[in-house]
Amino acid sequence: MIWKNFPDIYTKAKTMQMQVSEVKESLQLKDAVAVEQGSRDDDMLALANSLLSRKYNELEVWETITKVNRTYKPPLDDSSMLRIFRQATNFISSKKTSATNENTYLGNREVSQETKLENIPATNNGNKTVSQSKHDDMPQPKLLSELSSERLSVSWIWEGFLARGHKTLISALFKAGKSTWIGLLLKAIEHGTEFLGLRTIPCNILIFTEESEYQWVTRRDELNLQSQIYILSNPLKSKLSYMDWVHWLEWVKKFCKEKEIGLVIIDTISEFWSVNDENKAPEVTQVLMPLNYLTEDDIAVLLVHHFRKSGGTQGTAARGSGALASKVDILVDFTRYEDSEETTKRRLSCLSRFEETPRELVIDYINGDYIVLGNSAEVREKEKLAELLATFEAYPNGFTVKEVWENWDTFIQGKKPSKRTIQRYIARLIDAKQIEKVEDKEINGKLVPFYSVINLRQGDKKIVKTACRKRMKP
Amino acid sequence: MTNNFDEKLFIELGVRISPTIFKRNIIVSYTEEAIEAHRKKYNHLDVYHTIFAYDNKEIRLGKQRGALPFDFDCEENPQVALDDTIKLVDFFIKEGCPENEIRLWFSGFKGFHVQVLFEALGIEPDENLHAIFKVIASNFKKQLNLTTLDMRIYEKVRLWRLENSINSKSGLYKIPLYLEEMYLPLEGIKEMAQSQRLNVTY
Repeated sequence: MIWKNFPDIYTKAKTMQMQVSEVKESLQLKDAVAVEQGSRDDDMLALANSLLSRKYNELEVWETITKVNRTYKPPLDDSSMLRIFRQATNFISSKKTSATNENTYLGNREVSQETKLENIPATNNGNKTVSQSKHDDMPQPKLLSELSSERLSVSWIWEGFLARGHKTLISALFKAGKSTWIGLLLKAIEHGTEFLGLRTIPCNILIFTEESEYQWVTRRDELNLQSQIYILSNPLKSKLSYMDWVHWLEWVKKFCKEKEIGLVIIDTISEFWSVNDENKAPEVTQVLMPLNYLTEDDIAVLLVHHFRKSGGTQGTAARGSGALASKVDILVDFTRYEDSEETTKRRLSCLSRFEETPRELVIDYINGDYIVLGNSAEVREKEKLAELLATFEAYPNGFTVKEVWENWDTFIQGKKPSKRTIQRYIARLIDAKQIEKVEDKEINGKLVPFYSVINLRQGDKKIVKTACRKRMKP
Repeated sequence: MTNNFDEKLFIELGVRISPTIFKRNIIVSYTEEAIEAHRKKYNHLDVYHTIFAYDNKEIRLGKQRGALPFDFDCEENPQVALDDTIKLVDFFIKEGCPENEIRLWFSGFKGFHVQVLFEALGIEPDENLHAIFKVIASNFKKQLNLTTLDMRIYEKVRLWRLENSINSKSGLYKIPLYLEEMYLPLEGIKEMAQSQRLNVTY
């Protein structure tokens, strides 16, 4: 059935539209018409470039240059017109893409090379509504002044390390204890208790793991994990293609929405992503971008990765391209604190966009839990203080600074500190009420202070077997 | 688009692969098979087709043939978009547009799509159909105060979501609605959009 009134409405609209076009044409084209053979191609290209870069969208440009072509003597053929039009749109598009890539982000998401290649050439941006219409679904930049402070405050799942809407990368050597660490992290998140001294917020969790279900059942029972933790164990039978990876993340996003997941852990990232050569920065960068599917839904993403064999410092230890490290918000290197297979201490060295993230933490795995020892400097000092205390315990009559220094056993106690440092350590032990000054004795005409362990009186038969001493557990 | 597939016509297909990657320029004959293949290839997720069909494989050079489209969007309050939709459809019916020539969809996220089928318009394909439709839509917008009507869709080559495909922003489907269903509460429509709606007949 026909809408009887419509042809009239249409005819009026068509007339109006033609009038608008003619006005536009007359305003813009008076200098561009009637070009003769010899300069038609160049003039047409210049006109198309000029229109695209100033005011008009592709369609308007195409219509305009087609009309202008009719005035050419003789007009260019259709294939020439198309070639020129494509050349112009590609030129403008490449200018826009390179400007975008050089400058910044669109809504915090980098514009990919694929966008440039696969999207149609960009429209120009003179007329606001026309320009927006091509990319109405694309993220739109916002004025800095319009940003909501709500979005600026970070919502932490684990303070300093895992934030909603952000990516964290933890890198470690094989068998360094990542899985143990993850297990305890899950337990803390489940109960909303502190982990490594930093608060956690309970949330549902999704884990993609290279470990077997058996290992996770064991861990679940050991740690008594009961909350909403979803596990996908070794799901892949072959390497994903890039498109598979994108689709997979789309599916993950959907799953997360359905199950109200707050944290996604991918352990290890190299087991799941589509990267064939992780040393190639563009490939790694491309693969990391679809993770925005998750972060844009305010999900925290924890990527677990392996170290390169040669190690590294300041965030360069992760295997493969540095692009991986540069595209995450929080970077954690998880290493043994001492160069020994036996040590239970681990060091977390962090680089982060957030001031809440500690730069370094040394932790010790004791009785199924981690104890925070502080940063490396603090841990070293604690160890030295323990050594010093043991020395004083061995000499109940008291020691001077010089005697401590002279009796320092580098084999047992490590590198010999300076007398000034020993003085500082003594001051710390006095503050901690572990030693005290017992007397000042005159030596070579100078009064020299003697220090001794508090409550360890002269004559006590306390024997401290210095040679058997081990570094004190904090 | 039009009510009838025609392999002599061409359409462009597209798919949003990720928030920042939109693949398009997939030019195919305007057949049901081509559209279904595209839909299946991308698992019904964020798949698009052009509003118009074109009589030239170089679609920007072609004459356009397609329904008169309207896109109502309101992210803050989709109910406002629904109210505008109702206002427009009621107006069309009052103006003598046959009810069974009007198509209505919930877009799957924050709005509604309305089309009056090409065959009901009594017009011929035109190179500037989009621009003429824009003038018409602009007049309706003013006349009926349709604040949520999106005027940006009136382009020579404009994509919009395939019916019964998933809108990844919400996880809901773009579903066809019978005209009487536009009076349902928005929540009821969203509930219907949790799955495909394949057996709608007009």
